Amino acid sequence: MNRIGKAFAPIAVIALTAGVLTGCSTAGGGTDGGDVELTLSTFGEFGYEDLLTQFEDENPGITVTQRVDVNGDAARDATNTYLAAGSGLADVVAVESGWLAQMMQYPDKWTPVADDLADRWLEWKSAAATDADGVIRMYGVDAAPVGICYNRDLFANAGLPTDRAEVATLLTGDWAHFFDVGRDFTTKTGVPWINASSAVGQAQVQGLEIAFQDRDGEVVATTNPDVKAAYDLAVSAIDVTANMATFGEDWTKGLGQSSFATQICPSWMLGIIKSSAPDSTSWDVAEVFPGAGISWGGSYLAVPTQSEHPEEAQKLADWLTAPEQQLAAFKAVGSFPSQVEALADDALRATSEPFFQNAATGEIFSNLGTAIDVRPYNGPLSSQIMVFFNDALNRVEAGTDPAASWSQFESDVDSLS
Amino acid sequence: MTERSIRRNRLDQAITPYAFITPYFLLFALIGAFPLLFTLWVSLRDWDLIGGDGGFVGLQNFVDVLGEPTFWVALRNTASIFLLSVIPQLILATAIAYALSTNLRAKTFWRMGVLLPYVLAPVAVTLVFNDLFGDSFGLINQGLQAIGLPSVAWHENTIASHLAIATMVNFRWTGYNALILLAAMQAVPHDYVEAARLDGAGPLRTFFSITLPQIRPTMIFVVVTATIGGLQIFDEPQLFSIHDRGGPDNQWVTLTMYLYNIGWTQLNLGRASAIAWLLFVVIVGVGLLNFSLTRMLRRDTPTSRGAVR
Repeated sequence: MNRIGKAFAPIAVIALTAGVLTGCSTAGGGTDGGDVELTLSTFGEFGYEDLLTQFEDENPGITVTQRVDVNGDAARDATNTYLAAGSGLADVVAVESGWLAQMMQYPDKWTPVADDLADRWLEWKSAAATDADGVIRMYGVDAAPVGICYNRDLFANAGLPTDRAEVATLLTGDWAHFFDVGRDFTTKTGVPWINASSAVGQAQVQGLEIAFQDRDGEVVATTNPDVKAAYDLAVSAIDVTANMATFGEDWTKGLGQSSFATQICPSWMLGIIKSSAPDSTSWDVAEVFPGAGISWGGSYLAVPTQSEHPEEAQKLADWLTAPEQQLAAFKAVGSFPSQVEALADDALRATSEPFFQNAATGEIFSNLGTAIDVRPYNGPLSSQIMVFFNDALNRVEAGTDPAASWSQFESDVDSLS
Repeated sequence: MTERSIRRNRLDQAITPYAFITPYFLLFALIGAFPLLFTLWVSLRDWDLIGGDGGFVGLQNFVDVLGEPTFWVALRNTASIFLLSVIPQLILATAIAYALSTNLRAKTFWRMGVLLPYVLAPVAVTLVFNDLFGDSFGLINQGLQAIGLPSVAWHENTIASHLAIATMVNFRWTGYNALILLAAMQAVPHDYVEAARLDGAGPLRTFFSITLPQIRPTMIFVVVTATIGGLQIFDEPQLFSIHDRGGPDNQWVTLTMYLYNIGWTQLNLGRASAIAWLLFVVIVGVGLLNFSLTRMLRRDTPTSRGAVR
């Protein structure tokens, strides 16, 4: 290399590097007049697929990509990770009511919901997503009244009624009655009555106003007699359970294989059963729930402040949770509205679901919803303790002594503090 | 050459090598040393993953972790899965490497073939294996039931879960290690092998007396990397059951999974950092053990023995 070339080499390198760097920065920041790409993260079945296409058609220049986690727990961990990293969250994030309180510990991480939307939702729904300053931070999606799904063919095999009104009559009563029917069924057929004792235990806990953590933030999980009672009742059902914990691999397949006769069915479960066992023709849903009516789960959409397109993201969240779209989502996957206007809409009660033998799901879940008296309170630690509670029951199901499993639950809960 | 240019040349020789290795140390400081020290700092504080720093707490996080039975269970699981994967893996890899080093037809095809599992995304592999190891509807259990044998409780029995996870790990790493060992085997001087053959040694005898002693340093390298990888195992056990993160009874919680659960589910980053440091200490300990092993083997020079006996 000649003298001049030698002298110029470093300059050339610097110029090149600078070129690359500026090239990068323009590519990253250039949205002027161009398309906006939004991401939406959900879990399970939200029924948004068709709605997103519609949104894109109505808003040229905006494209939406949906990321789906297998279940709420996986979505929670991912949300925590991206929240901590300060980037990586979708522009619109679905949050489950179980871990809503954990997210609401950091209200400034979420953009406020417009004031004029405040009356869109049932009071309890928006109250849970309101911060200490009275600002709503998340868009309510669904309320989740709970019914009982049942396998018609298995019921018929055991000589039980299959008509959903008759099934509702058959199962009306307390949990003890529910398991009595179940024991008869299992004795006759050898098929388990329900998927797992943890499902029973969790349903009990969802019916408690205060379960694991009280409103002062005190952890009461191991001292609350209601929780212990729920545990004992769930343990007592172990002889009629299939040992297929909800959302596990076996459970997903078991739904399609007629491995158990009943399934506790929050409205959103309809979509999950449908997608897990698309070929099944046996599932039906009855308007009944042992003991008092409960709600289980229900979700929110939130726009994180780390979003690069908060305006468009809020537009999407607003639109998706508007009554009209919520009704469409209910029709698609059973995501039962928490919006006042949608609940009053005749179209809701007129909704039926072909997969569940044309059950009038709108009617059924509306009635189940009005029968709920208790709105459970979830603290920031509730969702974590629920994991331990399910583990405790799954241990018993796998053969651990119930008392030993309970004391491990106690030490698990202690480890949180 | 002038005196000046000689001096410049010396200076050049003195500095250039260091200049060349500097990028590595800069990178190491940035992505190795800094996170290590930062983690140590966080481990001494009450630190919420999202909320941030909550003040100095001394060694409390370490006390909490060491007093937690789950930590010890995780340590046991990690060791068990590690042993169940690394031993069969090395034996298999050596056997495969030896087979590949012989005169095969379509050599490259076979060599690329053993690397295939390594190229596949671990998540995809785990999903397939999950179908295999399902408790009620898994392929293996259905096969066992079909021939009248009892099925295996993959997600309940501790050892069964470890075996299942070790199988996934072995599937992924055996071929990779086989290729490294194969490279070492091909570097064994052919004279030794020939001399052994002339002395009447069969293929087995040649393998044990010539090949194996000759590839010992590489073997140790493979053991060390497998150790580090094995102690940090995460993907396979995490995906073995997405639903209950390590089993209801912590049957297959490994140290890194435990760290993840504490830090990212419970948001207790201080305690998670303490676990990270304890894991670091464990790995350094095992690493030192390997180091002394290496020195022992070096003293025992294989070349002077091999062919003669």
